[in-house]
Amino acid sequence: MQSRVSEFRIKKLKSLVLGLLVVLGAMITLGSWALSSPPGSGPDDEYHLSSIWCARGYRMQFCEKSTSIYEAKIPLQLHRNGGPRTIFCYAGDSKISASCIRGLDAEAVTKLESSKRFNTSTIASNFYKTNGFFVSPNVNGSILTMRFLQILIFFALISFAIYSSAERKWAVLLALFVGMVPVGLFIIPSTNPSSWAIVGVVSAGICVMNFFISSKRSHRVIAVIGFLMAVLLTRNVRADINIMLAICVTLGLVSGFNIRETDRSLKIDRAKLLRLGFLAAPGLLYIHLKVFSLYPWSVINFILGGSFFSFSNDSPQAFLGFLGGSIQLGSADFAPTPVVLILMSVGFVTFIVITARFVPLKVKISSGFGASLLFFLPYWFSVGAIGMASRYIMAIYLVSLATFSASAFTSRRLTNFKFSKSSLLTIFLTISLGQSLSLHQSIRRYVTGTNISGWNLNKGAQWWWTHGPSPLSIWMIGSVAFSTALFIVLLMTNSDRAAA
Amino acid sequence: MKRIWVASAISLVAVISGAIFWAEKNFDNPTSQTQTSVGYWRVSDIKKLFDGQQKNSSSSEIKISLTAGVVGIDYTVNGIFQMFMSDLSSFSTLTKVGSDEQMYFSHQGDLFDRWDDIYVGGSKALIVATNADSGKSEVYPVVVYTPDFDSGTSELVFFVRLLRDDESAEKLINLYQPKFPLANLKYEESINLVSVELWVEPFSTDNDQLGS
Repeated sequence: MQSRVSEFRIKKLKSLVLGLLVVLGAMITLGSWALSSPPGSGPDDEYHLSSIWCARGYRMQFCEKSTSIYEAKIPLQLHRNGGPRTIFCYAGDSKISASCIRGLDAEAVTKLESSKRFNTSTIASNFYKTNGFFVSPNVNGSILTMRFLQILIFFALISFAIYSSAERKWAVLLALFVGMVPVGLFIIPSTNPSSWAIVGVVSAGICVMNFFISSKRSHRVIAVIGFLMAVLLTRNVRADINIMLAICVTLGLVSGFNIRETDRSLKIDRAKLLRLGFLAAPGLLYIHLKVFSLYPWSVINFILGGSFFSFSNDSPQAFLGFLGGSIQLGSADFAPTPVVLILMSVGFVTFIVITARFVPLKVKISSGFGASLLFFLPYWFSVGAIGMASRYIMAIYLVSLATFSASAFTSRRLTNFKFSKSSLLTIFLTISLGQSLSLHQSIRRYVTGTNISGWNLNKGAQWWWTHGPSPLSIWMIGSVAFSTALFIVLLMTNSDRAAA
Repeated sequence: MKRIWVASAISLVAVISGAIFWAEKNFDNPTSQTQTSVGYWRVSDIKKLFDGQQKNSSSSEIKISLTAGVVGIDYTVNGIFQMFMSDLSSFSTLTKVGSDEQMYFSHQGDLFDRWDDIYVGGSKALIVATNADSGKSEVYPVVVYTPDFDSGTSELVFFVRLLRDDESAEKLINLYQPKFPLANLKYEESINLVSVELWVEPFSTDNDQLGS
């Protein structure tokens, strides 16, 4: 009895140490991505940075009153149309480095110019206000601090989702590791509100799933707290946040119910399903009346009336973006090298194939619904001239992967099945290499421009941060940290199962 | 099996540490020598800016210089001139005495509001400019005080007086080492200057008037 207790303690300690190593590895990875690109390299950063600078009202030299009520005076270096005298001087041409930032003159950093490009609505106001605390005369330092703040918020929120996942935590972590490379790794430590939107919606979706699966009170309480925190954080953070939240919470809810049923090895109660259907009816009616006409001919008209090009181009582009296959990183003028797309596709498909055989049909259907939205929403947004980027729908992608992986874990437990070493090795090699190469390309884009190749990022570097490790060191540290964390996650995903 | 894992982990750490050491040793940071332009604008920032870099020194002195496209100096009464600076740059350049370290100080801050607190009784300064009438470049030693800044039009007005007999510009001339000959403003006369630089005497960052 004593030896079993000590064995349990050792196992617990081992799990804790490895868990801490994963957290450390993930933190270092995100930190490396935060340092991989210069200030102002995030998507639409001139708008978001101006909004952050003006978020706390008129403040001398940060955001001052203009003659027009529709404008405010912001530092010239944050101006969209300021040309070479801004921190965006390198944007639009991936062949040039970010060295022009070094040449910003005194006027660029002291002069204020009127601008209309800043947030005046309630959308993302909490994000802008929170980051507004870190605005200082030193623009570079402020932006770097904000990037690390986003990393802290990511870990704070996602920890609720991971803790409440209990024994499924390694499976959920694996899904996040597969799904985050490379777009998520760039967006999370950025000054773009999508950072909060992604982490908030993903945490909410996973917490809802965990609430319905878990039988332990502490896990359910943490899931509820995590859900509330996530909803509070993401409130109004993006115009489409309510739609994303509704979709991801629904995915979490459906998966939670189904996984619980699987866990209990019970058949679904048809009467219960019918009751759920009646409950869902008012919601569907609301959507029908307010959002979109669901008459079949309206749906057909909508699809046929839209652009075929959007359906065959924009939707796949958005999905390929998740795998590093389209221009979704940084100043939106470069994509990772094609080998990243190949590696990530192999890793993604391997992950889906090895987990799919254990996923109950109902979760397959709900995840399939999520996956279909990954194609339908970009099409919808394109037709509606809203524009599309992978980060807008990234939360759905991650929640679909997480619910898929979590449900596979529960089913595997019943059959006591282990993943084959070759499939785990494939995931490890493809995803860690994909991450490493996309980080390399991201740094390369800004230190020399993409027309220069070679593994040595230090050679011929024209831009880098004033202090801290060199570009090559950041790449090595980020690559090793991610690979180590992924290795532990894969190891624990399988070893957990064997012990059950 | 456990030994293999430990040996692998140690080897990995050793290889990565070696590679990072090599990378750091062979990296010539292109930005390390670049003076990052930082738009400081409150007088209280001066302390943070320069004191933080000179903790071992008992005092540190800062000199200020301003540039303007056109300056008109008109005599008023009682030996007082009014200096009207237009086409003023949006910043002053602050330089640590004895070094080339420069920072840019926005004119839209409170520098001019606090001027007379920092320089009690006015500050000695050199006006280095080209006389618009004669076309000669000259240096005028003066005392400037009570500035009035209009941020909307980038114009600045100082009251100016000549140095008294007991005051000397020698220290200032040694510090800035102007290349042009010295000249003096004349009472009852007005002059127009172009391509103007105003070099102001240094002040100590230990000055309590800077705030904290």
